[in-house]
Amino acid sequence: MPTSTRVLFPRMPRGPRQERRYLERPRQQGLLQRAIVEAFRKLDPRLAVANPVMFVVWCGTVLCLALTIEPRLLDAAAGARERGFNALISLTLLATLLFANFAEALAEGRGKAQADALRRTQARTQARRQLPDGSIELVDSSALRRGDVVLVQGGDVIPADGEVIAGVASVDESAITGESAPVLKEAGSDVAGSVTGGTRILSDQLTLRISADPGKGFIDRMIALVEGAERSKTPNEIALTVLLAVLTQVFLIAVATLSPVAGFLQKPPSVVTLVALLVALIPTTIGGLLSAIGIAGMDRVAQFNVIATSGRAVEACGDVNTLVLDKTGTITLGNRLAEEFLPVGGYSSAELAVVAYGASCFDQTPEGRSIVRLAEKLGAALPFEPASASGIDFSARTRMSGSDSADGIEFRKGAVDAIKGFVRSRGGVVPDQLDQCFEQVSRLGGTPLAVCRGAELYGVIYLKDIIKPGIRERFDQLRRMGIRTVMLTGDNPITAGVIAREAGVDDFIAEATPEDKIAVIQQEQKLGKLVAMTGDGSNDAPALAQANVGVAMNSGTQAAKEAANMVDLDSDPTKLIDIVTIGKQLLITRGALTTFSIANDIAKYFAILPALFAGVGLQALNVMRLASPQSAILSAMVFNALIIPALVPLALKGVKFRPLSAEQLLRRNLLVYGAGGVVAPFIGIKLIDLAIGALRLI
Amino acid sequence: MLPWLLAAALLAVVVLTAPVLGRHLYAVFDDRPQPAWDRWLTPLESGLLRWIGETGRPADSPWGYLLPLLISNALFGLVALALLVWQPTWLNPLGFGGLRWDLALHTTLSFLTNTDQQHLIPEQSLGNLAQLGAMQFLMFVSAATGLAVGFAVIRGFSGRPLGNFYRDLLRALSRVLIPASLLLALFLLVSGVPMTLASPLEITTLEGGQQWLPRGPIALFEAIKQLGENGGGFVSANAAHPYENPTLLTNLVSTWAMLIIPAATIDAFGRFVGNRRQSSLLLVLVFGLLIAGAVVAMAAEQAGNPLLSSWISGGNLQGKELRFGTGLTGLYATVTTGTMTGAVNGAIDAAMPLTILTALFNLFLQVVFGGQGTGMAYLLVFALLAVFLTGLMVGRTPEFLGRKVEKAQVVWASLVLLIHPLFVLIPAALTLAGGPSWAGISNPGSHGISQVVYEYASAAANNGSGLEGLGDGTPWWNLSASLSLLGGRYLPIAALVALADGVRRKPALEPSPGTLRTDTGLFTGVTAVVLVILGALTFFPVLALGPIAEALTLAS
Amino acid sequence: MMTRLLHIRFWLPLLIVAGTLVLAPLFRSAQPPLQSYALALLLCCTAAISVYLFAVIAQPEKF
Repeated sequence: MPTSTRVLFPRMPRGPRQERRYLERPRQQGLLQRAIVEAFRKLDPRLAVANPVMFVVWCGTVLCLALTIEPRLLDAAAGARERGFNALISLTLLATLLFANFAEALAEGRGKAQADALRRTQARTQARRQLPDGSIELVDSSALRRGDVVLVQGGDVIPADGEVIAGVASVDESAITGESAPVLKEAGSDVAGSVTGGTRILSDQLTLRISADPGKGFIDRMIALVEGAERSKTPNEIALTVLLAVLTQVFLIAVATLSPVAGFLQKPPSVVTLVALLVALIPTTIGGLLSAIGIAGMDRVAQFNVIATSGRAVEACGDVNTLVLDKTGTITLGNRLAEEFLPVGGYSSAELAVVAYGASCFDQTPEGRSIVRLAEKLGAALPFEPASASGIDFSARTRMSGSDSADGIEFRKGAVDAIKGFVRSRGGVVPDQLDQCFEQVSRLGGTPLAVCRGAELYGVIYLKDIIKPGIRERFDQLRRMGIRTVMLTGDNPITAGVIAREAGVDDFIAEATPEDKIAVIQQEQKLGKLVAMTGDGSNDAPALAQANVGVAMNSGTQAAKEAANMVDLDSDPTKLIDIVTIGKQLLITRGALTTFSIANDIAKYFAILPALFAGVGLQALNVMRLASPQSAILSAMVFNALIIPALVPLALKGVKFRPLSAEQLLRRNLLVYGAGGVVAPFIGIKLIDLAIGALRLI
Repeated sequence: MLPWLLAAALLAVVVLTAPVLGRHLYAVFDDRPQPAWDRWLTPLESGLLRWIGETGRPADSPWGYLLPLLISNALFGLVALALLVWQPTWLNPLGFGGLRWDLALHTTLSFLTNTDQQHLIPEQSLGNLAQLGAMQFLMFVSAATGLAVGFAVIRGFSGRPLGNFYRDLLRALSRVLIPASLLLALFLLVSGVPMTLASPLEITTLEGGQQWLPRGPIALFEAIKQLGENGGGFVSANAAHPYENPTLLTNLVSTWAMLIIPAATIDAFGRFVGNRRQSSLLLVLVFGLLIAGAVVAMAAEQAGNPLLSSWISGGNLQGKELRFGTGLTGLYATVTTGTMTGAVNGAIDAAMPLTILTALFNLFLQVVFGGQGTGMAYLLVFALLAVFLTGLMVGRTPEFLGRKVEKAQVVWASLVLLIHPLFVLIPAALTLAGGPSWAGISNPGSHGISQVVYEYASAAANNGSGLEGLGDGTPWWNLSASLSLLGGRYLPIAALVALADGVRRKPALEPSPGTLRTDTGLFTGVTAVVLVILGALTFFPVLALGPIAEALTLAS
Repeated sequence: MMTRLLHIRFWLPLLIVAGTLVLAPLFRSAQPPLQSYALALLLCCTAAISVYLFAVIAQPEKF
């Protein structure tokens, strides 16, 4: 049902950042209803025990409820008139729990809705499995195993992930990418050779070798990921959990020992007020929102049409020190266009154009086609009969491509030194002028391609590289975040240097081979740095696996997608920068709410302690001039409960990240969440106290 | 005015002398080239190490450092315990017998843990052999143990191997504590502190009565007591006694002696990590806290009790030595509780509630210089926690000194936070639940709470001072305080060494504009706030019921 | 893991009950029997929560 899933992953909208909407939101009402139901379901102690801070609140709630039913349970001298107060405290505690559960359920809700929609694409289908003897049998798609060979025809749903081993066909991949235009799939091609289960073949026929067992395919992984089924705590979350548990433990001891200490002064506080003090002190705000922050972070990544294999990977993004980027497609627009022919050795532009045409007529890359177009514009004609000639493909080894005509004349174009070598090997001479042309083009930031016809060098094609608009600003942002960018390119050092300078990258590796990628990553990692990279080709797979954060393009090979820890469904390499921002946002949100939560305690002490020990002479500490001891305690508890839903939008959206230096960020966030966390509760508790007084609740 | 000027001058001298000793500590503990005067010690040290069968190679695991520490400390303790339980007659002119087992245990553990909490009256229960062989011996080795741990932790944070405990212990003694104590003892001797093995002096007072004046090898005892942040008195009046602290000058020098090694340790830390800006800012932070406390305590003591002001002028003179006056006694109380020395030159029990609040706060924080060596380590723990809490807010896994702060570091660092609630609040609550008469609490109200909480806080922080109106010579006090002593000493040490070992194994990262720098004024301020909040939040309830309630009652 | 959990589930309630029975007489002097049992139970449960928190600190991954 492609129509129902189209809404999930629409193609990333273009335009100013704030105007982009990545996801048509699942209907708000349905989400809220689901979250409310979930909030109550999560009161189950077996689920509650997973969150130490909130579990302590849970225990306190049970105790207070018991004391509401029988106020004299723990102290025979207590009066029944305390029941009303106990009931109010129990209610606020219950509300605290429900709000925290609601936040988590809301964060999970969107993922669950997406997962449901994805699951609908997984209708069971019949597959035609080819047996080793060549016969075909019909089997259920769930019976397919890795390595099986199946046939699919126009109109079929592809039964499982696989590699195309024969045939050419167009496939509708909108179920996963949201892109409605069909994609051409054919055997042997690096990029177009893999298909995904759940997508639909529109025409023709393909023979596939299945590459994933049932339940382990790409869509299954996507479902598990958006649903959060495989969600495990990230390293930072774990460290934070420890700190929160320690603080809870400290406050538990501090409050539990308070009873005998105050008892020494003959003024033991009631157990309900002690529970209230404990819940006010333990970091419930961050404790209640911690998991919601993590889930929402994953969700934000998904809204960018990026599928991350784990929260760990998203978090690691925030820590990235070095970004390794391919030049082509990331820093420059993918298509370099032929701009000019620069003849050498006394040849004319027209002659060069003819040879260039000849060398490019089999080249289907955008560069190749642009050379043909330029040559045709100059009036050149193909110097041989294309039907009888044969094409020579580009390879990373030879670094040139071309054609051999029927009469054995070799037309070649390629990297200048590669062509030089070729010409010399054919006994030709290289005119000195070539180096000048080479430098001239390189200095313009273009890519020079030398062109030859057998042993004769005709000149240089100037391929113009166009740097993506706005990329420089993004690199400047990254630099301010402390992230170094390294550009990898097959270009010669001069061209690479010019592009690097114009784009504003920190470093570049020219004439890079796939092995260089891994070498660069390893070298950075040896210095303790975290490296992120994007890649698509199968030769990127080892580097993607080596990088701490590897983002594979969805258009890329199966091997690249397997090795990466994120897959970008839109195949837009610059998105890495957005993911880095999300990773940082995630950490900042956690830190900010933790700071806020702890800073809140100061005001809560001033509200509750003088109320708790009325007769001890601590009235001077009642700086907020709260009406009565009971109203003071209740106000603090109500504030404590209400602050959670008040911060849910912040937790789900994340603290706004600004690309500032660490010092500036710290100062800003400290002011907002640290100082704000100290001041806000003083105001909030006072207001609630006034409201309680006005409502005559106590 | 004079006390304030003297206090300012004293702190200025500490600031000026700390780098000198800091350089020496760095040389000693990082095996830098030695000055000529202690080069001759090298063969002696290696000989001793060979004698106990030690290679002197650095430990490659936390246990490799902790195990020798625990074994040697257990041995030191057993020797001292034996001396106290079977006090021989040799060097024991008054023929004191052995101590009761619980008192002997408490006294041994108290001196072994660098605490020197005394539930006994030394001049009425210990002969010179016990004072020298048990008390003074433990004072030296416990201070050396603390220094060794402190520098092992510093080494870990600077990415070096932890080191070898026996070697560190030996070098701390031979190159730092013994020479420094000898120098200070010489000064005290000149100032009139006795150094003799003779029996107590019997004199006839002006009224014609008979009095015994306890004498002994006090000068050296006093020197290591101050320098090693031990604080146990040769006599129970401690530094208020003219034989321990005869003049204003010895009082000031003793105050300096408490501060100098911890201050120099912080300075040495900066040299270890190659960032003296970092250590200077930490020094500023600690001095800031010290000065804040000193101002509160000195002002409170000089102002005196408002209820008595119509009858008595000149501040709170109760429990003061008039030689030192109210101001300098307030300063001494702040420094002695801040540095975990625990020596007193006046009765803290009789001090103003705000002074007691300052003292308790110092005991809870444990970093206003803190214990010998361990104070520096605690400071690193709090800086680490501050980095973790605020570092997330810059959008990166927090880093401290170029090393990532992750789960293991947070676990070990936060365990240190748990020690005090466990070993102060729980026993204090149990004791208070028993009621005043059972626990020997001499005050029924808030001051009674202060007395009990102070006793355990002093034990767990390895300080040793006390609100001595408390009848603490009972088995309950001896045994429960012993638990706090042990828990407050060895659990944090284990956690600190494990923490340091984990830190040193992490790769060091180059700072980038995205990393949070810890050597800035902003971060130092953040650390101070985190320190005060984490310390205050835990103990605010008991502080409110104790000294704060007392102060507010007095003020109203 | 499961057997381990079962293990804790088995002994923790036992410990709470046993602790309650042992501690209850301590409150007898000030409170009637029901209240003294309830107080003892509260004390034991507080201790149990504390043990739980220590478990979280030691193995946060499992929670």
